[in-house]
Amino acid sequence: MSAAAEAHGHGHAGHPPVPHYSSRVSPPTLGILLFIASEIMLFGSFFTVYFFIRVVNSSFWHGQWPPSPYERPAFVAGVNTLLLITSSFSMHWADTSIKKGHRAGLKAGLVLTFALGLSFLLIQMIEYSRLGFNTSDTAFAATFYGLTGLHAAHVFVGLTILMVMIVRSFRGHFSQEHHHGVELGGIYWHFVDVMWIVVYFTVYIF
Amino acid sequence: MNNPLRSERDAFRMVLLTVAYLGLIGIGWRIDRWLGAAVFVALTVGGVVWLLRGGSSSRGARPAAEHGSDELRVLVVAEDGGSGSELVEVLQRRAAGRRAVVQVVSPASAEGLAASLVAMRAAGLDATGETVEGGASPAIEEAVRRFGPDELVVSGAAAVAWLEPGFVDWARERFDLVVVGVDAHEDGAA
Repeated sequence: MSAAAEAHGHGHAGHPPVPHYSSRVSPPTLGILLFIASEIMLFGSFFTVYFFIRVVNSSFWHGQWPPSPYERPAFVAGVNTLLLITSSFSMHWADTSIKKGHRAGLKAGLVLTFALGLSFLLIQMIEYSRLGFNTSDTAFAATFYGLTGLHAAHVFVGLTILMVMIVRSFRGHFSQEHHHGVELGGIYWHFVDVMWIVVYFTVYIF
Repeated sequence: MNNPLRSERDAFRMVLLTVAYLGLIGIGWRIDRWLGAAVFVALTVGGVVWLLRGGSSSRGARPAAEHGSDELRVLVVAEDGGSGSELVEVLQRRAAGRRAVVQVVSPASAEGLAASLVAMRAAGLDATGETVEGGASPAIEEAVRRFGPDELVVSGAAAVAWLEPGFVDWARERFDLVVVGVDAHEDGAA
């Protein structure tokens, strides 16, 4: 036993002792939570700009939101919202499946989640092409594209993570005992979903 | 206040809560803007109070154990898989003639856990178990939620060092359960 190991009171020959963690949450989970916290701040800054523009220009636009002649495609965005909420259910199915050792459920859940997320992104792109205004037109247009575009970028990152998870699951990387990768990817995907619900109600409904 | 977001399950629940929260505000908003504002205030205040009280995982919010007084449900947290004979003796003593249903959670290998379960079953305990990964605290919170134990027995092994120092004290504070330490780390043992 090395002097260092003896000093710690553990007999770990050849490798260092397992560290104690000060947090009650596992380090990888804590990492993703801190990352999400920073993302919430990023979204918060975009929401701040959105509400600032909306409130400050309220009298200029005679209390009308969105300002004439803009219209928000609430129905298409509503369909997208349903797609993303459904994808959360399929993601949760994938996670619970691997926790029970059902690999087929994991694969099906991840592929379904990816397909729903990709559909969301494609519909968003089509919606952009038919809106009839661009980022430089008005402050409303800039904040609209800013918020929805920021979210779309997060969906893209989520899809990339999902693709990695799909490849790993088809290579047999996850099991009932070792599924932390699915757990963390799932947390991120649910965060993307929650943010979209907030964006949807803020930008398209209220 | 406890962190309400610790796992994928919690995150999924957050999605559902967000849908319900904003959906109700949206419905109120469509009917009348002031009604929407009132729903927003009511739900937000209610949510903050619920969070400050510890949320759904508050102390004592374990599932109700649906069994008679002749059965004792024990959740064993075993760093080394629960292989010690002292642990089996403690479990038999805790059962005190009742039928003991034991669930073991451990970071040990599946083989080590299986051997321990065999020893427990040989001693007359109705034992099942599972290996867990990640930190001890979230794994045990999850196990308490699912298993609904009457008692929690913490069996530490200094050579493994999975449990944090003071874990037994933390568990006593966290759960509304009888918590017993067996060979746990010195600063946290019963």
